[in-house]
Amino acid sequence: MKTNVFTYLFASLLILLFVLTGVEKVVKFQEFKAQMSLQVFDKSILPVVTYFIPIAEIVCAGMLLFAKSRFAGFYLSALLMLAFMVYAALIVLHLFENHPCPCGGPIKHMNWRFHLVFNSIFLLFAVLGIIFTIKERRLEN
Amino acid sequence: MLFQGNKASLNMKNLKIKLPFLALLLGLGIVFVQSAFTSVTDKRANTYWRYNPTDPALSYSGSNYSQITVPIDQVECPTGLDAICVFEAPETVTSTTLLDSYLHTNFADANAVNNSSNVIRKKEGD
Repeated sequence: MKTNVFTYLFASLLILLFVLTGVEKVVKFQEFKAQMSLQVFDKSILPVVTYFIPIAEIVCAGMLLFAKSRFAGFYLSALLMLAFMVYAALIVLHLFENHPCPCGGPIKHMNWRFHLVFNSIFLLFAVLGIIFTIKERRLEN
Repeated sequence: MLFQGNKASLNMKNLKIKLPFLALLLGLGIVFVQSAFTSVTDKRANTYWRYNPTDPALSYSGSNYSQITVPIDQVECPTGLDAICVFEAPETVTSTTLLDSYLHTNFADANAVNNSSNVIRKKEGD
């Protein structure tokens, strides 16, 4: 399958983001766990969310690496970015209390508004990756 | 000319395929270099303080804290109001007087202290 250069570019940018954020969460897991305990999640689901997020980010980066799993990787990326975006939006709208961001990589230096814009851009990359992959498959067929 | 065109096309194709792997290596490199350079300075640069009251409104006063000398995860954070348990301050803050000065210099009020990124751990809410 001939792949558009933008598909590789979007996949690469998402891989870079998920590696920066996911691996850093694993490397500094105790710090991440402490910051997650300050978020608005119910105590019953907190352990699940705390382990799920870095694992999902790293799995997503892995899926985006290879052509066979890249399409599913774009879908998972879009779902993750949408979830993060919704959470950031609820904080910006003051529906959730403003807590420090338990974020890795460059995102931890951002305020929640900028975080929301940043997530929107990467959600767009994931969605465009899905669209381009579908178009390439149709052309192939 | 045709052969050179095919060679350029092949190089471009190889670069495209390698791009995701380069992104992976770049990301891993950044994370590990960052960790190597910050972990030692983080340990030396900060002091840690246990907030003693249960009322979060009193977090603006340095006299309500006591300095922690054990690993942070060994500090007991009993249940109570959703207040600070462990607060992180720079290396230069070595007394409750200096902590009080630091709080008043860097934060507007108790609410700002409670919501700051200096709060490492919180007491469990009821």
